[in-house]
Amino acid sequence: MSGVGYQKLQAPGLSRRLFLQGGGLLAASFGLGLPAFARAALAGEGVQAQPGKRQKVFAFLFLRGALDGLHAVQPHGERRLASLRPDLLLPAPGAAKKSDALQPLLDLGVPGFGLHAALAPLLPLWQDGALALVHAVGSPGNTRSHFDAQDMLELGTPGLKNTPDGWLSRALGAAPTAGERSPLEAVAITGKLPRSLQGTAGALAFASVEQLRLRPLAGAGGEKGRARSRAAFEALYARSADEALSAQGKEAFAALQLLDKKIGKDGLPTAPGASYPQGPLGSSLKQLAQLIKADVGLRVACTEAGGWDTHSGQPGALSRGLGDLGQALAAFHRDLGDRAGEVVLVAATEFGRTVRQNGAQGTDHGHGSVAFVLGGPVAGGKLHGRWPGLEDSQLFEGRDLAVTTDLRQVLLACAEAQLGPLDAGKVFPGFTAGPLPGLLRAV
Amino acid sequence: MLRRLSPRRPLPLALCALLLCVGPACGRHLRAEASPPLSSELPAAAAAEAARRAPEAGPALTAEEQAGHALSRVTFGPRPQDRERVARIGLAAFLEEQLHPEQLDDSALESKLQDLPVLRRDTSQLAIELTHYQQAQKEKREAVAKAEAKAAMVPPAAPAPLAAEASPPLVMAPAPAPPAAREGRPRGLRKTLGKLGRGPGFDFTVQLAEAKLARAVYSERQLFEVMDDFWFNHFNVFAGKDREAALLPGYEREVLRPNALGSFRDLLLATAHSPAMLIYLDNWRSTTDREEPRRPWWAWSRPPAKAKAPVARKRGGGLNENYARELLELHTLGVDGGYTQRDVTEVARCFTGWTVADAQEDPRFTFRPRQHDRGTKTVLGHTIAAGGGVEDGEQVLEILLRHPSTAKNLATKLVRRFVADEPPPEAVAGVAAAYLKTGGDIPSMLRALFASPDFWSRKALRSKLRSPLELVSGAARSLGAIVEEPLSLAKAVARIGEPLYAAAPPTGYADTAAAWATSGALLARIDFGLQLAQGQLEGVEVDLSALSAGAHGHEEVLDRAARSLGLGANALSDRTRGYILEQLREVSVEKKPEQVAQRAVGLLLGAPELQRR
Repeated sequence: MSGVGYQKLQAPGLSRRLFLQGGGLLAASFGLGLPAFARAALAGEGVQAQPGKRQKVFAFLFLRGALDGLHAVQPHGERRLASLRPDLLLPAPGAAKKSDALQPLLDLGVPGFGLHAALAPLLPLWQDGALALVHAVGSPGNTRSHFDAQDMLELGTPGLKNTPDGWLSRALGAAPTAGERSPLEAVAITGKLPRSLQGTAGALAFASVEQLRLRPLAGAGGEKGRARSRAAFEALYARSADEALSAQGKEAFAALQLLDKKIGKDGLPTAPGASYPQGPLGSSLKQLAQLIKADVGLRVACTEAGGWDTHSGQPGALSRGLGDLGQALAAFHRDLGDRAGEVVLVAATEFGRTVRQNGAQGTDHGHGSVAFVLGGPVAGGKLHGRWPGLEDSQLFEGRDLAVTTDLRQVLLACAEAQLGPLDAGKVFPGFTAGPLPGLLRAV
Repeated sequence: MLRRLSPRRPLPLALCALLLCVGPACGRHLRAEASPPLSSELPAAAAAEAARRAPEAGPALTAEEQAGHALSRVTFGPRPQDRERVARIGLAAFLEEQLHPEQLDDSALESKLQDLPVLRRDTSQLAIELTHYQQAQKEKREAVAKAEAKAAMVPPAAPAPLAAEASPPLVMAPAPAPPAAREGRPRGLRKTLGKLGRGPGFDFTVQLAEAKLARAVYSERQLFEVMDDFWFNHFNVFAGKDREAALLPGYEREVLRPNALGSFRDLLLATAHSPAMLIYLDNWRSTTDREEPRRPWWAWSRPPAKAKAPVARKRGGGLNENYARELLELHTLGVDGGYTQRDVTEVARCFTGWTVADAQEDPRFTFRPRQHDRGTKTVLGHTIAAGGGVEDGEQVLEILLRHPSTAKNLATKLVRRFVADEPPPEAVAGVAAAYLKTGGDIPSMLRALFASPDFWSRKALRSKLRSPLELVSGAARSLGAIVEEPLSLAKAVARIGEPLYAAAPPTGYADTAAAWATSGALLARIDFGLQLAQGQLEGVEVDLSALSAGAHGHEEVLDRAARSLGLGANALSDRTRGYILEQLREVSVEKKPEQVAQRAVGLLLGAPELQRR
C-alpha cells in the first residue's frame, strides 16, 4: 500500500481533519447555526408516540465486548500497522488475500482507510450515502473493564457510576411529546433491560418474540382464551401491592395487547431481498423492523450483539462477526423500505482494542473504536471524526487508539434528529461538546 | 494424528512441583479455624434485633416466617418436607446440616443422574470426541466449498455464521451439522435434540443442564447446589467458546463442586489452574513479550544475569491480558478494588506460561517455563523477583487472597444473593470479616451471613426476585413434580432469559431484579406457570388431584393450592384472592375439579407473590 492519499491528508494545512470532506463542513455549520426549534420544524417532528402514527425512530445497536475498530475500518495508510499487528493486517484494496480471514479491504473512497471485506453488504449503503462511519470514537476515561465501560456509555455520565437512569431514558423524558404515549414507545430486544433505558421513561424489553406469548387458562382455548388469560393476569398485577412488579406487569400486558392487534402471532412479512442472517442479531433486527413497520408507536429501540471480545483468533472471529453484522444491517435497511429514511441506527461498542496484537492473534482491551450510523438524515458515505494517528506519542496511554470524538456527540446528534430538540444538559449532564458537526445532512 | 484415548502421560515435573506447593503441606498458608456452629437461638434473636433496629418495617419475623424465609434463601424453593424437617430439628440445626452436605444422603438424586454419562467421563475423552467431530465437520465443509467453487466458479463460501452466538439460546453448539456417533444412548428429549445434529459439544452441555435441573429439584444438599451455581456464575465459563463444552463437565466436577462449601483459597487456585478457565480467558496463549535468551535446561532455576529490557517479540507470541484483568475485576478484588492498568499487565506477565498440555486432546494444566516472563514484576505494590517460574502466578493469587478488597467483593456478592439486591453494609462487613479471619472459609462466611440481623429483617422478606433457575426449579419442588425430562425445565429457564452454561461474558448472569425484570421475561414466567400447572411440559408431571379431591367449593381448592406453593396465611391480599376466585368460578368444581386446580396453580404461579423469594 502506498498510503499516498493518506499521507497527503496528513499535511499540516489540513491539521488531520481528514474525514470532513466536500460539503460536509459547510452543511454542519449550517445545521448547527439554526436554533433548536427551527431545526425541529425543518425535521418535521411528529412528536407523539401514538400507535398507528408513523414515528421517527432512534435505534441503538450495542456491540458488546469491545469491537476492534482498527480491524473493521482499517487505517491501512498507517505505516506502523504492519509492525504492530502483523498477523491482523488486512491487505489494501485490490491486493491479494493473505488467507480466508484476511481478505483485502474494500475501498471506501477515503484515502488510507478501508472497510473489512466481511462488511461488503454495507458498501452499497455507504455508496448511496445511507451509511456513515465515525472513527476514533469512544468515551472519555480510561476504564478497560467491559462492564464499567458499558455502564458508563449507557448512563452517559463517564466517571459517575451511581447515575440512577440511562441516557436514552433521559432523552425520551426530555423529548417533546403530546398526547398519549404508546406502551411500545421504548423497546429493547435484549435479555435484560439495558441501563441506557432504565429510568422513569419506562421501557419494554424482551429477548425474543418467543417470550411474548401467553397460553389460555385451563379449560379455555384459542385466540379468545389467550385474550382472557392476558386480561386475568393483567388484573392480578394491577391489584398487586408489589409496586415494581405491578408496574412491570402493566407495561407488559399493554404491549402484548398492542402487539397481538398490530402484528398478530404470525408476524409481518419481510420485504423481498431482505435476507437476515441466522442467529440472534439477525432475528433481533428483523423483529425491530417489524415493530417499526407495524406503527406501534415506537420511538426508541435498543438491541445488542456480542462476540467482539477477540483476545484470540481475531481474524476468523471478526470475519464471522462482521459478516453477521454487515448482512444484518443491510437486511434491516432493505426490510424497512421507504421507512429507512425515518430510522437512524447507531451501532457502537464500549471501547476499542490494543493497537498492538497480543500473543494469540488477538487484541486486548483498548480505547478508541469505530461507530456505524445508518439511515435517516445521516450524512453518509463519509468517515467522520478526527484521526489521531498511531505513532507512539499519539496513542492513548502509549498503547491504544486515542478517542477524538466523544460518542455522546454522535448519540446526541442522532437522538435530536429523531426525537426532536433535546436539552443536552438533561440528556448528558455536564457534557458541553454538543452534537457532532456534519454527521447529519442539512435539511 | 489423533491418539485414541491415550494412557495418561506422567505428570510433568513442573506440575508435580506445583501440586507440592499448593497442597496442604504448604505451611505458609495454614488455614485459620472455621467458625463454631450456629446456635439454636440465633434466628429468633437476630429477627428480634432486626425489628429493634428498624421498627418502621414492622414486627420481627414470626417463627413460621423465619423458616419460610431461610428456606427460600438456602434452597431452590422449599418443599413441604423441608418445612417439616425445620419444624422437627429447628432452623439453626437445619442450616448447619446444609453446611455439611457430605452428611446428607443423596442417593435418590444419584440414581436420576445415572443416564447422564458426561458427568463421569474423563475430560480428555470428551475433548478427543469433540475434536474428532470438529475435524470431520471441517473436512466436510471444505469438501463442499471446494465442489461448489468448482461448479460455480465463484469464490469460496462466505464465512459461516458466528458459531457460538448463532445457536438457539438453550445451550450453544460448536457447529451445526449432522450427529456423530457418540457414547451412551441419549433418550427422550435429548434424543430428539440429537437428531437436530448439533454434535457432541451440544450434547455435553445439554447433559450438564439436565444435571443442574435434576440437582436443583431433587438434591437434599440444597445449599451446596445453590453454592455450586453461585460459584459457577462467579467463575463463569461460557460453553459456546472454543472447545469449552468438553471442558465444562470436568470444570464443575473437579474444580467447583469439591470446593463449593470449602475454602475460597482452594477454589481460586483450582480455577486458576483449570483448563476451562485458562482457555476461556485466553491465558493458555499468553507468553512473554520479552525475548529470552535460550538457555540449557539446567539453567532454568537461575535468574538471568541481568534483566534485559523488553524487545519486540517474535511473531506468534505475546502477552494476553484477558485472564489477568478478570481475575482482578471479577474473581477477587472487584472493579473498584484498587488496581490499575499497570497491575493488570504485571499480573498477566506473572501468569505467562500457565497453559494446557494440548488444548485439543490433552487439556491438562501445565507450566511452560520457556513462555514465562522471568523479569521483575510489581503487583499492587508487591515486588515479584526476577527469575521466578510458576510461583509468580501463585504469589499473585496469594496477594489477592489476602487483600481486603477480595473479602469485600465476595461478601458483597454473597449478601446480594442471600439478603437483598442492595447489600446492607453491616452484613457485608460481617461476612468480609469472617473471610479475613478464617482465610476464606466459605461455611464461616455463610454463618456470618446467617448471623446478621439484616438476613432476618422484614425488609429482606420476599425482597429478592427469583432467578429463572430458582423460579423453574422452585415451582417443580413445591408441587412435587416428577421430572422425567429435566431438559424441559432447562428450556423453560432459557426462555425466561438465562440459558444455562450460556452466559458469554465472564461476569456471568447478574443477581439483581433490575437485570431480569423485563416485560418479556415476566410474560415467559407467567406462561411457564400455566404450562407446568396444565401438564404441558414434556416429561414433567404434576399431580394436582389432592388439591381438588373432596374439596368443598373453589375457595378450598385455592387455599390448598396456596399452601402447597408455600404461601402463608396472609401472603395473598383479599383483592388478589377475590380476583383469582372469580377466574376459578368459571369452571365447575364438581364437574371439572382438575381444571379448577390447574387454574388455581397456574394463576398463583404467575402471580406477583410467587415471583419473589
